[in-house]
Amino acid sequence: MGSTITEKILSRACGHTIHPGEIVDVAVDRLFINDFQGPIVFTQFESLNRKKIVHPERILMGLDHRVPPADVKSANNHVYIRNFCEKYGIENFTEIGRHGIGHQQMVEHFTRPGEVSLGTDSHATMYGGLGAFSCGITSSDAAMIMATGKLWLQVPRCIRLDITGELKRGVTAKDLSLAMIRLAPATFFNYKALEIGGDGVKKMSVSSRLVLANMAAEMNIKCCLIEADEKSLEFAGCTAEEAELIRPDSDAVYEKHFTLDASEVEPLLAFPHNADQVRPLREAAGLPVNQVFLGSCTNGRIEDIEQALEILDGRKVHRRVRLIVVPASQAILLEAVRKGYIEKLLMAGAAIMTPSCASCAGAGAGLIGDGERALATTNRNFRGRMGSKESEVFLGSAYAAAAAAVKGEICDPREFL
Amino acid sequence: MKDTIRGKVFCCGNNITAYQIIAQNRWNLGLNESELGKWAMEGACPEVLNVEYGFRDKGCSIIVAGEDFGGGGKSIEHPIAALQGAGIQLLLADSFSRYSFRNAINRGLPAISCPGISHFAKTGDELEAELKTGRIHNLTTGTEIQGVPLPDFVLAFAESGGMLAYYRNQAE
Repeated sequence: MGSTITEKILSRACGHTIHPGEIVDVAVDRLFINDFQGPIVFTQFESLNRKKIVHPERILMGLDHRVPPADVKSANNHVYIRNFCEKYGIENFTEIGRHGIGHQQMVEHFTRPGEVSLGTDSHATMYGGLGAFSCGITSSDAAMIMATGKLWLQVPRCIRLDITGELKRGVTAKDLSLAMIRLAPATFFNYKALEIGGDGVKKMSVSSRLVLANMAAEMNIKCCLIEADEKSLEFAGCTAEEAELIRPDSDAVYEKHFTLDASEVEPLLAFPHNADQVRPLREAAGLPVNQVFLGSCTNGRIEDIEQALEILDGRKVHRRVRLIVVPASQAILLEAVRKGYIEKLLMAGAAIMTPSCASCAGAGAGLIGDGERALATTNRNFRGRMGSKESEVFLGSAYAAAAAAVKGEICDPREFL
Repeated sequence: MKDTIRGKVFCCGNNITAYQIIAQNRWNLGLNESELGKWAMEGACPEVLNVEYGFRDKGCSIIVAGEDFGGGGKSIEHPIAALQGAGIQLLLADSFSRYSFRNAINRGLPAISCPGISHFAKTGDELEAELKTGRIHNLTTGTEIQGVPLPDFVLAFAESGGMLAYYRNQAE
């Protein structure tokens, strides 16, 4: 009986062949800790009375939820984090100025295909876009990894998704990810691994694959693995010798197979107040928006800014709309500056923020008020997630965001393309 | 660790999220069971909203939930810590969200998956659960249901007071 990608990675990481349902101790290759969980993780680690972290070089400590801090409590948390990293030799600490959303920094030359790469935040599933086994973990889990290098995990059953065809113009990986959420009720995917392959995904950029793996968190899956290839290696900044491009065996056992034809996907939105409320964008056409948010670990990369500029370049943001753009990392912001994108965004009337999670998780700047409506490229839209409990958030692509910003209401972005 | 847990049930429905178990405006209390416990279940139980110890004072020690208990995708341990601080000793649900299940195990709060449990008990019923076998007895109605037995490592964590405490004991 053959193995899935998930089973192969976990077998390698625990040194013997494993099977779904088994609980195993897994050696962890990469660990991300953010500034929201950091102080809790570090306090829990210190409660274990260990003098050293077993592999400090495998840890990336990223400031992203509250940067730069806007209150003294957050500033003090950052002080604690800095001192801890200094004391225990965590060198991959992303100080403000070299910062970004941690998930983005985990895929910018840190995580490699085939690794076990975990993070203290639910959208850690994103590193699966590079072909890594990645999922969100809790603060105690991170403390255990720091102390032992290992973590207990239950081997998940796998679901296979083949993507065929090519996305049509004006339709993006975000729309495809929303189509994925519609495949089955979220309870179906609970605890399971989703493995994605097929010609459709091979043609996609790594940036687009990261969108799929990021949004897969909203399907309630444990992890999402996309078959890695040469593009993944290039993105991760490593050679074929330094990473594993793992394929499932031809007789690997999947609990269920799905197929999605990318060419049949139309612009979609997740309606308030849950990411699973996916409907065609046209059903919301005409609804006025107050704020448009282009950013987050889901859609804050160069590809997203380029898509938005296909519509925004030479046009103006509607007078009743605030367009907030938050590049996902300093590296992306720098690239956008060099390519002239930031100038074009400013000319259109956008506000540019320093890379961070910003208002995506309701913890940073850019909140919306009572009775307001936003269209955001983020991954969650629970009631009150982006501010007031009396507001609503629609989730969509960078095209949908740019089109709404220009027109002042939700509209089909293909009108502008 | 006792092999059986007996207590009074509080029933909540399907899709009770992490945010309902402990509201976001309480997360800044830190990961402190007794502080969080004052405000447990505010979002799932309207009469305890803003009532300090409101949920604890109901005197229930077993939660019976429907599907996806503790969902909403939050990895934080605060919801489980809040329930522990409010005197909860056992979680039973048709299904758990991955994070709530993992956090319950890591914090030493036994959690048994038991499809059908949400129709098996009502708030106020007296239940007894055998952790090793997954057998659950409703002492009020005299009926039984089979849940998923807890593996040894989960019981070991529970006995120590959680994964970190278990590790501390092992290391000493």
